[in-house]
Amino acid sequence: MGDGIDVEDRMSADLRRRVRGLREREDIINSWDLDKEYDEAKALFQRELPELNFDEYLGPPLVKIVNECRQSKIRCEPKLREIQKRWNLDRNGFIQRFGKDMASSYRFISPLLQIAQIAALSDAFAVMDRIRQERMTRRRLEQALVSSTPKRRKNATQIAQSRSRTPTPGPVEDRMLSPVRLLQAAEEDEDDRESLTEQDIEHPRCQVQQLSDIVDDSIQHLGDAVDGASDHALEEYTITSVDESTSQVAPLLKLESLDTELLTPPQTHPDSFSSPESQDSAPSPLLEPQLMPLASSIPPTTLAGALSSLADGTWVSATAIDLVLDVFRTEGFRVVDNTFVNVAKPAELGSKRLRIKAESVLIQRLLDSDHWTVVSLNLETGAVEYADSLRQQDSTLPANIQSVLEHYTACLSSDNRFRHVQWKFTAQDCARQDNASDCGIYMLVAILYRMAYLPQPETIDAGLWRKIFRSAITSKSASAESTDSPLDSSVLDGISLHGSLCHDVSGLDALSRHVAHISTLVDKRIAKTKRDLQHANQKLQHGQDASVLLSRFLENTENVLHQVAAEKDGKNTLLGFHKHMQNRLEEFPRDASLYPPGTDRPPELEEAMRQYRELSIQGVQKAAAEMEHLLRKATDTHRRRDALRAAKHIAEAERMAWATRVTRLEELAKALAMELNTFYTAQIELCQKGLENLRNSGLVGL
Amino acid sequence: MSDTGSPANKAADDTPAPTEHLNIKVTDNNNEVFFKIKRTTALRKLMDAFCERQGKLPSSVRFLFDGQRVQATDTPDTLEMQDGDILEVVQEQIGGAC
Repeated sequence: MGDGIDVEDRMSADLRRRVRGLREREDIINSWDLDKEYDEAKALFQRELPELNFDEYLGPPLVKIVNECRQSKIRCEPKLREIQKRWNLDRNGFIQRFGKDMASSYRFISPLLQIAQIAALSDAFAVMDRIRQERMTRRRLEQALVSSTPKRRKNATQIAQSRSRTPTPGPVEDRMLSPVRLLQAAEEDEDDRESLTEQDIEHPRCQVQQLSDIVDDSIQHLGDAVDGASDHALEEYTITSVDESTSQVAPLLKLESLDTELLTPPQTHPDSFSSPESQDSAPSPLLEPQLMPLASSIPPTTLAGALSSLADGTWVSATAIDLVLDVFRTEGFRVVDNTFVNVAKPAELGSKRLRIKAESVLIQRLLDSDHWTVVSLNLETGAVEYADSLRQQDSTLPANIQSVLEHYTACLSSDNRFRHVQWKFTAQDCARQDNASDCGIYMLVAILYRMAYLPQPETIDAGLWRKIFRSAITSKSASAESTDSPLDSSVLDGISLHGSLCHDVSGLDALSRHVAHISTLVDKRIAKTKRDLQHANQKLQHGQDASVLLSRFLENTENVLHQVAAEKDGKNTLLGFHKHMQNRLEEFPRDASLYPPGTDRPPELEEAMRQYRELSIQGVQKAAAEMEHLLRKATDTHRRRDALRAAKHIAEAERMAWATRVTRLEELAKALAMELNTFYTAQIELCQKGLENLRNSGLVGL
Repeated sequence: MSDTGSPANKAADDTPAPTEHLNIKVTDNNNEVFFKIKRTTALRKLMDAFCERQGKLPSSVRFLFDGQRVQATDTPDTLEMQDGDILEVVQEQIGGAC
């Protein structure tokens, strides 16, 4: 340090100013003309202090920065020229619009060139905005994708494919339509700059991250640069608040993915990729990939297999359905498998197999063997209702289903109990599935609602129910808490005043267009918050519905337990009585007062005693058997109650999580609404001021 | 005196006599196997025996009685089975959509 000061003392004033200038730039990378300033300072330094090394004096970090800047400039140069050519700009024009430092930033120039190739200078911002949105969706999607292992593999192959693809410039129109193409193009550009390492392929997330950072950067720079006189804090406000909302979502996503990974053995997870429409159909924070199972991935009939088939996006197995229904068993209902209605062997539907003790029979059956549906038979009223989560609203039954059911009811009618039942066939309304994997869940939930004597819901949250079912069939016990009510989403209802404001300011010139563009951003932000809020409220409702339904079942098991306890008491008394009687019978013959020694007992008495004894023994055995049965029932009910408690716990947790999210979103929406007014007033003023400035400087009409 | 106990003992021996065996048919629609099984024996034995005989993995099939899943711990008694009842063996199925 002392040396440094000595050296500084020996420098001329001019050199000292230059060196200090260079040092101040140490933390600003890609500064315009940094290399030039360095060269000039170096020349001066060598003239004044030839015995010293300028690079050593400056220190390696700064020299490195200078070199990077030089290289970046060299790399940027051709692209910059291309941009200038396309937009018909000279160097000063570029600097005026995008800022001096941007001209040497490869991370900015590279995507900008892509934009220049497809869009006019005036549309550059709109395009950048689209890229940014694309990136947002992509990042969200990618977050969801990373949650499942096969996805990662697929992604890696995709990247490998994109590497091998030659970046041939397509027709301009083609590119214009696809911002995704732009992103890919930028990706390829990154490729030719520094080729992908193996690690990048291993972690495509890094790749995407890198890419999105680039675009993010450029947008920020672009925004800042053009803002010029404008206040870029506001621009930042919109961008950061959007980002913040994604980060809020992240923990939820992580939780979800962890859950899935834990429960899904890798071999049952088919290699799959989410379809693009999943972006549209789910503006939700819990964006889940759609998995389509391979035909061969039939899980084993074990608990693990059932769990894997209850993982999100997978097809539900019959074993899973069996196990779930076992937990939710309800008196008065009997749920049977489709093979019960074996059309191939109608002879086997003999009366022996129709020992129906329940009031209603629910038949789950597969139509064409890959779709779960449910048929409910009310054995008292004769109502036969068919529910299919894939069908459109239609009160008639498909002919093939009806014929099977008619055959079945004909068999039932051969039984005396059902001889006079008039069967009526109808299709019942139930929630419609919106994908190609959840019908098993929809069917199960439809069965549960029916067993709880509740009206069928219009929509259900398959993800939540999968979670509930998984927990129901695994868990042994958990405790449940209940809490308060949901909030409403009316908070955003009065906010669209900015539309007219947009009209007022747009159509002026570039600057005002920029303001309009920002207002579109804000607009979208509001729309997004609104959507999120609606979605969160819906989720909350679903959680609540599930909770109510599960409570019913829980109540049911409690009742059964009480009943069993009461019966057990009764049986105990009976058992005591029989035992007492047995003892009395044993003692009776020994009663010396009745039969003094030497007297013979009459044979009738002997016979009567034998009968009594037999009766009492039978009584004791029967009571003991019944006790055993009750005990079994009690154990089973306890087990089911624990499972239901665990399930309800999940539903409650989910509900709580969504309630918190709704509150958070409402706060966000309120803050947004409050800031909107100030934002627009400020922007309009700013716009007018800026316009004035531009008019004064003669730039209007460019 | 001494002979008074004998009829009681006899009666006690007679009543638990319903340790009868049941004939149960196990079928997977192609093969039929008949088993004689005690009322109180867990059906696991029967399921394992069937799988072994047919060369199937127990984890690849489901056993159904009257359309409902049979658990390994169930016994003919708990399921209230009767002589000649049929246990169906079906492959695991999955369903998602048409």
